Amino acid sequence: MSTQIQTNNDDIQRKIASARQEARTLYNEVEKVRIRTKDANLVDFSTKIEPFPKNYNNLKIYNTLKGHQTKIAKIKWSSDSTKILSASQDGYMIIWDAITGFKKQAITLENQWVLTCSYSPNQKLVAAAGLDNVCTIYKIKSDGGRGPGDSSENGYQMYGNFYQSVQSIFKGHTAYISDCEFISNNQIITASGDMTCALWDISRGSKVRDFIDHLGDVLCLDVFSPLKESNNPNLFISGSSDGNVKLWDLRSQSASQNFFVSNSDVNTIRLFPDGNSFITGSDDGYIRLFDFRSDCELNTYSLANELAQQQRQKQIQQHQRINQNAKQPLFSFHRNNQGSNTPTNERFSLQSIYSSIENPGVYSIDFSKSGRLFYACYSELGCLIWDTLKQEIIGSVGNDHVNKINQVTVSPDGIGLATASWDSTVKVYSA
Amino acid sequence: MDHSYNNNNGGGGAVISASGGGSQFATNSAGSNVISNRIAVIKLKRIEELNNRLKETLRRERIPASNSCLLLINHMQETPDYLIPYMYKLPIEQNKFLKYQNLKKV
Repeated sequence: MSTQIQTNNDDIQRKIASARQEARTLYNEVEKVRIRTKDANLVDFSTKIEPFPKNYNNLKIYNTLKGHQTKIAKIKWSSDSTKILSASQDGYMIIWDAITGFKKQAITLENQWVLTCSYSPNQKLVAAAGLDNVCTIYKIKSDGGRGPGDSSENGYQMYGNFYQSVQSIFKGHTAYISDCEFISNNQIITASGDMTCALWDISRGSKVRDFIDHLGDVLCLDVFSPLKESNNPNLFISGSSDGNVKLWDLRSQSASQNFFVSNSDVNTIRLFPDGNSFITGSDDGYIRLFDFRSDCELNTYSLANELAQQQRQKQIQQHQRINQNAKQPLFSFHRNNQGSNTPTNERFSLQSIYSSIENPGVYSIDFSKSGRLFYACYSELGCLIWDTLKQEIIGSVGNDHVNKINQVTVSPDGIGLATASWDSTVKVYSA
Repeated sequence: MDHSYNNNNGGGGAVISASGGGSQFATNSAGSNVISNRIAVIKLKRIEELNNRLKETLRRERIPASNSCLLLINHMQETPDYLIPYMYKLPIEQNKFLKYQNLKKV
């Protein structure tokens, strides 16, 4: 008996050894294919394209949305780009008219420890989720058809008032929910610190599927927008503290494509507008552009490199105009002094930044509509504007905020941009 | 499970390192022999799963990165982007923000 088990065991050990050998061979093959595919990066191809003028500040502030009592946790644009949903740990979600700046509705949260929110495509539902491990779906009252620009008496007040009508409560995650996103009017995806993502069906009130493959907390996700026809609505991507990004098919429990990003947390992830590439922001301060079709990285955006380069250019310029009195900074991160008298303003000058970055992490990214620019919120540097092609920082946005900017998001129509901050306000920018 | 892998394959690497423990479960008694046998079977299954995934990865159709770059640049140049007024100017009547601001002034 025991000898039989022994031989059996030896047999299995032999099989394991050969399977491992096969894994190694296959892995090397995959590496070879990857290297062969990665024959170029984006910068090489964009040498003929005109760069933007330096320090090109192109956006005007239109609204400051004031009403929350504490940090804004998350903001989302409505599908028609006229409203903004904001969630805050003061226990409320507020729906704002992005154009007029007025509040339209406030939703009292079941649990105030919210981390994320989402707005359904038909704007009838909103979702909130967070540290209570639960994703709650709320119904929204229709807004009575008041359009933007309406300046009737009531338009200046908050109509709809405080309101709460829970549609569903989704329990199932065993750790905090870091992100959630409606994938249709009836389905929502959540990402959780329990290392899984989950798909939930609102009319059935139950979980449809778990997505299990990550080896760390899932920190962010992005869905292929149902609004864009070119996109496959059955896919989504997630980023995790295991340093990987995975592409998932809603119909399959395991990931269909994996991208190793780096050995640090993937804090934020965003699909390129055409849905064929995506960009990641990591705790190590690097932003990386990947492509699904080539299955590889196309570009890396390093703040440290960029700052060092600007420092060098600045020195060269200073040498060149040694006899000139005018000493204009080549590129200024100075926070706008208007309306903010924070003593920390000086910390944001380029020189001091360069020497004092403690946490370079990237917390939020979004592309402009064409994808030519992307906006990135750094932990200590505010929101910078990168040229996707030229790999250069061309400016900054959201400098009117008096505290850390934790999110930047571009409206679906590509005309508006909103930043959310720890100073409890949301600011809306446009050209 | 070991999280400290640094290869390009994500989950796959961890499976290899996790299964590196060898026969540390093997003891003298027949009962634990059966258990270690089962563990070995599970290990084998996991490696086979990994191999299948690697094969899938290998089979995936890829286009060269240079082509992806060109497609990306193409998209950037063909999509009007009104957050870049340097290149694309949004007509005032289409800018709802500006329109409302003007309305307020009146």
